[in-house]
Amino acid sequence: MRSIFGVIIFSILSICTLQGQDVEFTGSAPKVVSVGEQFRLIFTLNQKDDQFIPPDLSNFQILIGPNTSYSSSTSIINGKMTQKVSYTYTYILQATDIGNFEIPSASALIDKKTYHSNPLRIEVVQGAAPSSSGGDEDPGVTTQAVVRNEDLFVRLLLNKSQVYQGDYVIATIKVYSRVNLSGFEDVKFPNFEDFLKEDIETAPLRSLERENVNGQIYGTGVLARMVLYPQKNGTLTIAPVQIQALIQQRVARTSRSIFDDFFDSFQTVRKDIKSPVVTVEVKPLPPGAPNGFGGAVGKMDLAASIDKNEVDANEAITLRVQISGNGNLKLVSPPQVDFPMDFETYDPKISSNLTSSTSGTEGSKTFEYLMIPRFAGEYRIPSIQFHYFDPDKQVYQTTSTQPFQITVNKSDQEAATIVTTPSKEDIQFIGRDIRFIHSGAIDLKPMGIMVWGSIWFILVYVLSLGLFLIVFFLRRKKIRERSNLELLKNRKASKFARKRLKHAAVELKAGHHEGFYKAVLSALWGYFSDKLGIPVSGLSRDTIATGLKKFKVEEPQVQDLMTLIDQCEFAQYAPASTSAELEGVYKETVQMITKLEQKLK
Amino acid sequence: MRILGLYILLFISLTGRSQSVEDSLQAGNMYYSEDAYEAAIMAYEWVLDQGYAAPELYYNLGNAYFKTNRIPYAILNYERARLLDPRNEDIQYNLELARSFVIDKIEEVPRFFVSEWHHTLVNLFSSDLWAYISMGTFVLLLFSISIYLYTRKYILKKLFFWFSVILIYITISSFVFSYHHNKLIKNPGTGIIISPSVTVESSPDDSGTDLFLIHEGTKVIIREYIGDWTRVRLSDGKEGWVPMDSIIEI
Repeated sequence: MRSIFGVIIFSILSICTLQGQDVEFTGSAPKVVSVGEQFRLIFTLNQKDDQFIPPDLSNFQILIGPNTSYSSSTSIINGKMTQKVSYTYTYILQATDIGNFEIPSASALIDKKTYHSNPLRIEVVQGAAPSSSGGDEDPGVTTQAVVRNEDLFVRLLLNKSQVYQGDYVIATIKVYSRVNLSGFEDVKFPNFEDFLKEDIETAPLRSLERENVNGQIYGTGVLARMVLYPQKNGTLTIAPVQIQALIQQRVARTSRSIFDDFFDSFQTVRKDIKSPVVTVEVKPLPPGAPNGFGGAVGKMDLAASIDKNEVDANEAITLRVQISGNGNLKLVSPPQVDFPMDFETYDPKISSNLTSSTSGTEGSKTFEYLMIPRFAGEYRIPSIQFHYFDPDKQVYQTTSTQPFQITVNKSDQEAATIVTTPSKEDIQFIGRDIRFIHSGAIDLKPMGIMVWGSIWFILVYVLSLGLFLIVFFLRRKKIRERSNLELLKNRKASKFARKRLKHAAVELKAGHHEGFYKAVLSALWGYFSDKLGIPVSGLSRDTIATGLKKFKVEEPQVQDLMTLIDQCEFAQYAPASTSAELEGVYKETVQMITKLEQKLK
Repeated sequence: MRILGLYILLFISLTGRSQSVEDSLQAGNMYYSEDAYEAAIMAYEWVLDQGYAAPELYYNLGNAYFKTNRIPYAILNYERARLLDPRNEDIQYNLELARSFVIDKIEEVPRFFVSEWHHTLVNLFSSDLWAYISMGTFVLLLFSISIYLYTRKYILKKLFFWFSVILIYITISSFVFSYHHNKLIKNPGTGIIISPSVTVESSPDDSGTDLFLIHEGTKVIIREYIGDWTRVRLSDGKEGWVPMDSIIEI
């Protein structure tokens, strides 16, 4: 029972797998054929068809066809069964005219659905078919001739001969052959100095494809493809590719046996082939590069993201900056990011996902920045800018991201980190606290009102100064009033004395010595009478002396005065003295009065 | 719950018109003793809003801010308290303690010793006390001059002459000190950074070059205002522009 179930399930499964497969319907034919050449046109289907509708083949002569064949293969790997089926329809055609012809798609009907094969293009040229194309060459040719250079050569092809620095060139190393190639030995590629080389994956060369080169049909094969980034300006040369090719040649045998007609014998011939030297002209980038341009050339895009917008202090944030596109991404340097100064940042982690193909290097390069904010606050990362040169448009392009706003909250760990710091001061610090508030009575005052500059502050100054000045001036006035009377008398006295002495001066000029002394004496007596306030009748030497002492006139001066008076009284009655003597007495008197004036004031 | 109750109580006490500022002040002190710092801050700030000030009030408010871990505001209020009462040891102590929490350690440029003396002298007494001293000595000076003028005794004359000279010096200097201190209180010219961190720019707009970074609680000298920007100077001589809302004048 179990085995029957197993068989049923197995068969259902196998049907399912068959049904589940996608229909593949392909046509294949050589690309280039010569006039009169016979060639195969094959359509392959991977499922059984209900009906096959052949394409229009009116441009070619159908020699045989369609021949149908069927093949199937079943493989079981680790208990998993896969089954492959293929139905092929084969035509053998012959080209009749020169030109480019299209074979439209053939159709097949499977489960009431129509499937189409790919259309094919066939180029028909005048010229001989290559010997490598199979066993249809002339069997009579049994040469051991030297392989000519035009029968086998290698080329290094560039898609562009002029590029900007940093832009890429695709190099293709291609073999062209009209001989029976069996393989290669000792393939030497140039080392591509002055270039950054990225290999493009190419399938190993199994069979040559037909191609029309200058009207001749060659079998061609691509040995390698690579993307080259020139690293220098100027004309750069690429050294030739050197290959040793193995060629099979039919050998004409000297001893002929009957079997020789059935079995051809071949010999392998080695031939060194060399590609011509190729040059590339590398132009420097045009001037006017924006500030911060880092040499990126191609078509690129910039994207940035951060994982968190709001974090606690000391928590890490990751900023991802991705540059994607086509160009020399491998050489792109990290874009300039202006981190807030308070952030601890580290060098970016760079990861790239790049693939090289015939359209250059594509993919993305990612820069991951780790940053740790240490303090709370509102921070801003300004928009990141990236500049590149677009070689197609020949302009510098700039892409930028949006700015990021990051809120950093105070972290609870912040306090903890302070405690753990092995600083002696900080440890002491835990036990410290602010002093308690002032809980007693507080003398509240209206704000901004202060003693300095207030009205009563100014009043204290003004009033006290005013009072002082009033007292001062009142006192001065009183003193002046009291002293005024005596002052008047004093002045009168000096005037009087001078008047008297004027009289004496007249007498002196006249030479009357008696009159002179009389005038001097009367001037002195009159002067003291007025100065000391003693009436003329009460004047004597003693009264003058005591009066003068009251005014604190010193004794010698009083004595001088007395001698002067004595001298004058004696001279009045003495014989006539000389005019010089009179002159001396006059001067002495004037001096005396002047001196006393200072004392008696 | 308890704090909520206190808020309600506070609200009632604030809206009650019969309550005077003194009562609110006492309420603030009470909240502070009961660890209801937020309520205490509200009470103190209300008193300030009524236009009353006292060094002790600023001091208490600074303490309440300190307890709620708002260091820049604590420093701001301690600084204001210290301006009004420069010799108070408690204010000095708490200010120093609060300052030790400030991230930026800025080395101060040593001042010229004469200006250092002047600064200590000015801060010896409050502005009002200097004003009283000036007034008292002025009146005394006038008396002294009067005695010098009107006495006939030589010794007294000589004594009061020198006494007057000393009094002239004291009255003028205390007048000047009082004026300086008064000016300092009315226009301190310094501010405290209140934003957690501020980038100091080279010009008063966002596009300026970032010069350096300062953090909350740092004391700066305010030089001028242009638009929304303030030109500040650090005590080590660095200068730059910060947004106006990141700084509060003392």
